[in-house]
Amino acid sequence: MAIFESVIFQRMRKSVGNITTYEAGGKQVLRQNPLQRKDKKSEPQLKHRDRMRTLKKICGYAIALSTVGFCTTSRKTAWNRFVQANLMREGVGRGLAEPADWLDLRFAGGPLHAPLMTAEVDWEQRTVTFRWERQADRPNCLGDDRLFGIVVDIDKREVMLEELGRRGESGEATFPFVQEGDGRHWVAYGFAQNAGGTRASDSVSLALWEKE
Amino acid sequence: MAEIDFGVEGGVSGKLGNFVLYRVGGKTYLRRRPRRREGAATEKQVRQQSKMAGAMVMHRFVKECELREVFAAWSREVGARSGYNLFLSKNMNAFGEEDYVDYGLLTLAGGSLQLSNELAVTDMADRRLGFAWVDNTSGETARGDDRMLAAVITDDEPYRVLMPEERTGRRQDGQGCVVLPEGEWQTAHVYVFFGAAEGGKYSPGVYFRIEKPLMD
Repeated sequence: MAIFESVIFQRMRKSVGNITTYEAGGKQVLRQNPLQRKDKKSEPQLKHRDRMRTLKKICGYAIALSTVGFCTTSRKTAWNRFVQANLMREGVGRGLAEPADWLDLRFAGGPLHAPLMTAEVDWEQRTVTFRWERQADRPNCLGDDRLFGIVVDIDKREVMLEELGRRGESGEATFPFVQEGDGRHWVAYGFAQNAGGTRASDSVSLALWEKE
Repeated sequence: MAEIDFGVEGGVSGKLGNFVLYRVGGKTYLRRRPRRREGAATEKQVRQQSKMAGAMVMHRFVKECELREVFAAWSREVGARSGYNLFLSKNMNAFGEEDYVDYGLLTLAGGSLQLSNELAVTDMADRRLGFAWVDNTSGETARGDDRMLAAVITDDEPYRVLMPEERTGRRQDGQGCVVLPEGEWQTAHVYVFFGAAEGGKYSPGVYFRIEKPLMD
């Protein structure tokens, strides 16, 4: 590794051939690329990689949900929080191989109290109905908290996120659900977010459906 | 933290390098900008946050009823910054972790008006709760036409404070009643106090714990 000060090569970065240069601590650093990647393939490391790989597979729509569920506009922050909430979950350890493993996932997280919700599917009408109960006001559980419902098509890897209503009043909301050509398994979740959109509850798994 | 006197107007606030200038309660302060908090909150911090959160939730209801005026008037009398500040300072310690509320510690009224003597619950019929007291009318701080007022919290809504509209009783009457709210509650926490007929002055309150089965 070489450190040099040059008038010409200021703020130079990236690689040329097998030489990489970058700026660190206000100084220009030059180093050779590693010739061989060191890779300790210990069992915990491999398991960790499998878990990350599993989460990465659902990254596309997980991110779209997580920006709402983890209360951030940054996709990077949302991804970090999603990984933090799910990496060590049992279902992720199994690679989400079974549809039931999806019940273990969290698409939202935070200090708010979880909402009291249920979800029901009507195969004839092709609709999903979310119902929620009013909860008394207390810290981290206020009447003006917004409630959200999520339905994930496990096979097609598609997602539906709907705002349902407020925590301060019981209610129900119905949305169009399964279409021709959709997958066979769906899982529904619900979570709450405060009125300011700055804090959320952990998402709760509501139901797992298999197409009849 | 430094306190700065900028004269009569003193209207300065904002950021200055690594420092912040701000005004609170008519004074201007200079302090270092906050650093990002690292690590989890300590046990003490969590306890303090719980107290604050509980008090804040209850204050949402306080400001929606006549108690807002009670605390505003009381804060003017004692020179507090606002009714909100006074409510927090009087009630923070009544709240704890996991939604704990010590209703006996709550202070929902106060001021320069006198409380009647020997205030007590006399009877309960349906939701109507009767009170009696000894008339202590004696002048400006205890007038005969002072109204009996009551704030109520029920256990099915542990943070919701309300002041029932249906109530009767003046200081000179020596008795009064209040109609408790409907609902699934089993225990009601009732805070009785007096207010001047024209408003603006209130007395401290007395706490009563009422169990519903006694009313049947």
